[in-house]
Amino acid sequence: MLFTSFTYILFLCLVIPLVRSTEGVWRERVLLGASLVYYAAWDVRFVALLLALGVFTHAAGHRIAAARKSGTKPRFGNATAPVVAILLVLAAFKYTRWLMELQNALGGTQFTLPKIILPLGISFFTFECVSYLLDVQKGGAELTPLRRFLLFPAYFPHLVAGPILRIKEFAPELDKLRRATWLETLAGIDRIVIGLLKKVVLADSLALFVDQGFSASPGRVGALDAWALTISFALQIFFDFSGYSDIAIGVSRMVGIRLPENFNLPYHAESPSDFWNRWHMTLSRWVRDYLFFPLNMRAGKRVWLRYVFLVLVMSFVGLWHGAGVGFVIWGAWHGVLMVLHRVAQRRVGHLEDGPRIPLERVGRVVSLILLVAAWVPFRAPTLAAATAMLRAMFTLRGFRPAYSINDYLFALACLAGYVVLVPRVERFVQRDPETHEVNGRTFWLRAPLYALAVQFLFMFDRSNIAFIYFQF
Amino acid sequence: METIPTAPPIHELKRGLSGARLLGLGVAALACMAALGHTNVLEKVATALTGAEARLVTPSPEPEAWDEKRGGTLLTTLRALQPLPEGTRRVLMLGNSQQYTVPPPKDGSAVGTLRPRITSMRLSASLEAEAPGKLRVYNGAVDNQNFTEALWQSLFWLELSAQKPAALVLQASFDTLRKTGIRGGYQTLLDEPRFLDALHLRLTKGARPYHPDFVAAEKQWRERTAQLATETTPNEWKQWSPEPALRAAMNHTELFRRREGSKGQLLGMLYAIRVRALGISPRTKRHIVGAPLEQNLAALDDLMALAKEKHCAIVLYNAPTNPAVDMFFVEEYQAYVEQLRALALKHGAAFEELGKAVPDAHWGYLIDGPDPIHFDETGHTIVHDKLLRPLRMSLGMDR
Repeated sequence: MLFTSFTYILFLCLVIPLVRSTEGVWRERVLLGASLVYYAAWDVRFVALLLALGVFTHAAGHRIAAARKSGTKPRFGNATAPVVAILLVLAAFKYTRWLMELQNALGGTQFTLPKIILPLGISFFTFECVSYLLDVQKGGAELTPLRRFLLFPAYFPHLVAGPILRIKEFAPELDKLRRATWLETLAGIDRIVIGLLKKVVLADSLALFVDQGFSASPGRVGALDAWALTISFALQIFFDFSGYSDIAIGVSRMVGIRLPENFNLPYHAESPSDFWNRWHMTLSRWVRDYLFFPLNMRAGKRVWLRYVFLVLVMSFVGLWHGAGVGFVIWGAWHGVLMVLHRVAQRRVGHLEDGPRIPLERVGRVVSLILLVAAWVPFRAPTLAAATAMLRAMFTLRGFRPAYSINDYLFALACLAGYVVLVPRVERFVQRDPETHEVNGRTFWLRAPLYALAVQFLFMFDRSNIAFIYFQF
Repeated sequence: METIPTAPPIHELKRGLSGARLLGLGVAALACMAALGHTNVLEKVATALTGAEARLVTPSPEPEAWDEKRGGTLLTTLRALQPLPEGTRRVLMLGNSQQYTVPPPKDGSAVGTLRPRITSMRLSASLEAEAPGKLRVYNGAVDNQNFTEALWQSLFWLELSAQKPAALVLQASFDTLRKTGIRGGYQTLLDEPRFLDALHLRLTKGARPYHPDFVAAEKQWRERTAQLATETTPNEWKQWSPEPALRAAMNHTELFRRREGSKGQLLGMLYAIRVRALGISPRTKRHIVGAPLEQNLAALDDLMALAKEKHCAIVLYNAPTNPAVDMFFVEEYQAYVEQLRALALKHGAAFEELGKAVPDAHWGYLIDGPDPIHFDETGHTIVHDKLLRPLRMSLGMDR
């Protein structure tokens, strides 16, 4: 049940009035039931996995909390083992085949590769379960009863591709679970419409150019095309994933639960670290809080070790995105960029404004170029293709456009849209619903704008192309 | 640094939003959608901007003689073809819109009543006159049909069809060699299991530059069909989904039903804006280089090899270009013509260089100047005259 399908619209038309018409425990039950139906619509077989993980995490959290209350020292079986077990489930589904492929390729073995179906959203809900256990271990509150807890990983708007929730922000939302105001509903609709436009009109149209370019013979791509394709992919993945997040946040707002923001103009970032404060923000803070900070503590004053950990952590982020060397390189690339930025900052930070400001500006431009170029190993089908494309990009060989002029113009229009329109749109959709104007003309202007948006969605409908992040 | 500011303080509104008011907005939005569906504003704007260009005339040959849907539903079109009578063989023509359109008269008159005779109709008539009931020409041209798509279509004709074509007339248009990818209509062929087998067999025969397009097309088809039919993750697990029924129901609304036409009009409008505002028209000089060119030539090479293997004669011709338009770089164009000639030689095919065959008086007119692609009935007659002899020779009729 893709967010862009009519089935999902029908599902919302049934579920939201039902949620609005119930109260208290029943509202939670309706939400949980709807979430399980939503997941079952993808593949009913994996509902059991989702439930089993939820029940297991809840039980493990209870044991950790009980041990903490009784003042006993945390044991491996209580605290660490459940986290390892959950991560093993993720690894079994996501990395087994890839590891066997690697073993066959590098070790010369002849393992028959198993056909493993990746349960939808497993990367997201396993991380949420892990974060819950770690939070309880640190003294955070348990979420009980089981029915309420199961909503944490399974809540349908965020189930398959985030935002990745933390229990300390989700539990209060459940505590004050109430009927969404009409203003919140309106804000939710605005957000859904904008998310759909980003995904269907912009991301899917860019995908046509990106797909044909990245599937071309790597040796034949010139610098101009390589940059055009990479920038197009950078925009495509932004519109795709932020569009998805807009829809998830919008739907949740109509339900009465606020989800955290996931994007904040990522390509406006001032540095590689700043990029991760703006891109997939809920994943960034997960990694920061549960991986990077603990490792940093261990590194102590050994700066070099902090840098090593940073690169390792970012490589892990890459691996989380997918079982492939390209993803690991993408993550490590970001890690190295962050290290270089920190080193440069140490040297430049103490300079006078005169030399420092131009250096910072140059650094910002270079960062942006390298951040965009980092998408190449992420998107290219093979390492050889990625290498050829990067070589073309940085040796500046080949400035003859090989594709239709319309492709370049559309990519340029999207780039202009990102620079000019997206900040305004984000400001509009992320504001407090109570500030929406409902008495003036702008309220009724929504009617023709919604109609026009729907016409565009129909025109660009390609029978529902899956969101990129659904595969992670 | 530009960031999204935190939410501003809550304003005190004189009147909050009521459910009735929101319902009113929904009703108003639905009314606007109905109005948009019926008024078709886009078409009016597109026509106003593009003028006569939007009205290229297409003839009406009998359904058995051409792909009326132009690749839109290829499998349905090809399956609907009636078997030929015993002793009758088919000549298949593949190319772009030049093969099936005629520009309207420059004064714009009588567009609706024109019944132009295009090259394929003329060839059919000539062959019929010489050998009654022996040969039928089928025009499988599609707008901007690249050679990857032509090979894809030919896999069906040459590997699957019970009545394989006796000859293949291949139009090579340099401009089309910028295009890559396999469009959705062509992907419908994958619904035929034997086609899928033929495709997979081809993919196992060593890497070719166009293979990624084949793989991507199959992936897109699998995603789309899985989502339409079952909406599960791609696997063999089938589940019921209301999506097809919902889409069928949506087809009763004007806005949804006319979405493809509306998109065409929107693109037409954008095209006109591009031409008028940026001065980039189909006549603008462009490079035809790199991966798309390599992919197309590799696909053409394999298409000719496949035809030869299936004992299907080949006539390859370089499509006429408007002498009044200087849209290619000379060295690139000459190299391309030489590559065509070399491919024809390699596969023992007839080759006709028709690049300058149609004089500039017989070409159409676009909103900002001469049409580089489409010529009039005289142009079609010239192409027919040039192709008839090599085609007859290839078919063993002119020894």
